[in-house]
Amino acid sequence: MSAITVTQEQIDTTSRRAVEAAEQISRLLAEIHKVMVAQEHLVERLVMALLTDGHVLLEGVPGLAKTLAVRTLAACVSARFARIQFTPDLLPSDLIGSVVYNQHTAQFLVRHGPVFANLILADEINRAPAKVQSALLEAMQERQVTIGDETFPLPAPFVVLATQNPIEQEGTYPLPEAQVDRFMFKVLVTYPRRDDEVEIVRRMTAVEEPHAEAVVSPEFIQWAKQTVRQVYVDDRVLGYIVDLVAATRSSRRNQAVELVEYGASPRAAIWLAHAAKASAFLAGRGYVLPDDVKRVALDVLRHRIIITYEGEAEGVTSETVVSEVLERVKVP
Amino acid sequence: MTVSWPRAQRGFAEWRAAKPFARRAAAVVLAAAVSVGGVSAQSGNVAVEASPEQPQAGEGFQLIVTCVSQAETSGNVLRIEGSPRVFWPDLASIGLQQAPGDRSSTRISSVNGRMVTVTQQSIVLIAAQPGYYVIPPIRADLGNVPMTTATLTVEVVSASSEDAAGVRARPMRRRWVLPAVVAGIAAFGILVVAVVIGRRMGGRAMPDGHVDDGAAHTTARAIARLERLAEQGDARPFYHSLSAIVREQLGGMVDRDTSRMTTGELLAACRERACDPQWLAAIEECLTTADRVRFGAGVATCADSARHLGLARTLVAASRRRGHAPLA
Repeated sequence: MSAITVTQEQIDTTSRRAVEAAEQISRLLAEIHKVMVAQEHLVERLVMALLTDGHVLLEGVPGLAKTLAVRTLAACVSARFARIQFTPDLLPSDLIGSVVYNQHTAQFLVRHGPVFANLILADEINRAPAKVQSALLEAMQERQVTIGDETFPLPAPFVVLATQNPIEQEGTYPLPEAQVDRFMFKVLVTYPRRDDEVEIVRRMTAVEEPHAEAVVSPEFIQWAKQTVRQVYVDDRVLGYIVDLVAATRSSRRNQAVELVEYGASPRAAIWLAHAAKASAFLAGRGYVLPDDVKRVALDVLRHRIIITYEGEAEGVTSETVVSEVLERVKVP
Repeated sequence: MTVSWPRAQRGFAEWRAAKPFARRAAAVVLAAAVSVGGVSAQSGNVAVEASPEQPQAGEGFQLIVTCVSQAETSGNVLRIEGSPRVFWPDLASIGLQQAPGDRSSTRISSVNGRMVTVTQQSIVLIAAQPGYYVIPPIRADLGNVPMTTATLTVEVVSASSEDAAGVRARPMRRRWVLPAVVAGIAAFGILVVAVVIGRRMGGRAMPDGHVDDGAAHTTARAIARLERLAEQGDARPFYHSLSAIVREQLGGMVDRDTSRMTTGELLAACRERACDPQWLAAIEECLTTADRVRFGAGVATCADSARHLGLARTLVAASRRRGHAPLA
């Protein structure tokens, strides 16, 4: 009973902090939407990733404001932003940096690559060969890079937002499943509605192009990250998360899941819990509800499920499987 | 692929001279090859059989010629006789049409340390009319050794009326098995549907305004338990039970399985049904409090518990009156 009381106090404290943060988060979202029209889902996922140290894979055709969203977010949090255009001739040293010889001082100097930034936009990540992708994904995982003999920690926050183009697949190097698994979210960016598109054209052709200003500091982000980690997840909600992830691996419950070759890994369950915590935090709650889990499940799970050839022939997608799993698994 | 008649004869002689167990084993091979489900005629080490035993008119049956010979080993090299050359007689003249294509197979078995090969060649024949068909002796040359089978009489039976209508004939055993299985599945399906309908009707108002007593009794017990938990003052079990009752009642109203729905989804479903906003606000407040207590280790005041208990009672009573119709 006392354990519950202590937990309740912690939860109340976290909830109070979440409510306090809500004002800052609202300002952040409002500032982003000064530039961005609609795309609330994308913006929310970017903020969640920022609060949980997660990385985001964005998939969408060109011209849907993927780069603009990331650039605007970086501007709003006073974070250092770097954009790396991935090309077939890119080298790992172009990304992480290299050791160069200075003739004046007759010494070798370390020159940091663009990966030393808070927000990285890896544009068209599937256009670079595997060794460059590996270098970036290793940095994402370890949050440090080694140049020459020295290991350098990457700045915090460190969030990679990689984009993939679903068309023009010729000459690309699709990310292996093991590497895609390292992204917290895979967000599909879709075309805006007609009214939103009218507003986009209006804003972007006005006398002054809209621009965002820094409204939250990196310190606030660090504080918010700590608070998000303190958000309480009840054992039954944890069980629900694990059941959802396990259900993506099962092949005997119904036809849709029989068409799955590989389901989501325990890493998916970890990220699902992180994302659900961030969702609860953004809602001003110090505890996670099954609603939070369901809200983020599709973006966390869709890139971690591999469909069989038979499934693909049947038109089954990972989204179909996740939706079916969400409808099937009992909510606590 | 050379073979001599003495060697072929020796194969059979070895087979006959083998120990009983080995002979039985070889016999099994030959029997399996020759006589499973068919009528056969054997002469020496070559035999002919028809499969099935009583083919139907208009349906194909196999005519199989089986030869048994001995394989020889020379050091580590195993010499196997090739397939016998079978001279199929003109069977069209006796009313049997041959289907295109033929088939051959070779099996090797060890009898008393000696290798015996069983080779088979078969064709498919179709008899247009029922009756007895006498297959003349068939010549099969194994290497340079000519051999002939005995005469085989095949009885072709007439197709049933069902078959005549184009439906494939089935053995008697299958004829009743399939309908029995279908009937069993249908009966099980009816049973399941009846149970599901029964459960869904449970606790609802019947068309004549009466209420299913069993379901009403269950709900009454659940409410009584809820009242006891409220008296005990432990919020967690109280709100677990309360949430279950409210969700069940709402599930009947929105006609959905609420065990797979979150609170948000359930409330959205209620909104879609254009429920009374005041009532919906009360439900939302109740379920939100329940979620806070259940998942956020939150506490609730006695006044909250009493209010939510009253709401659950009202909800159950309304459901019983209206048969789970939305409270619009």
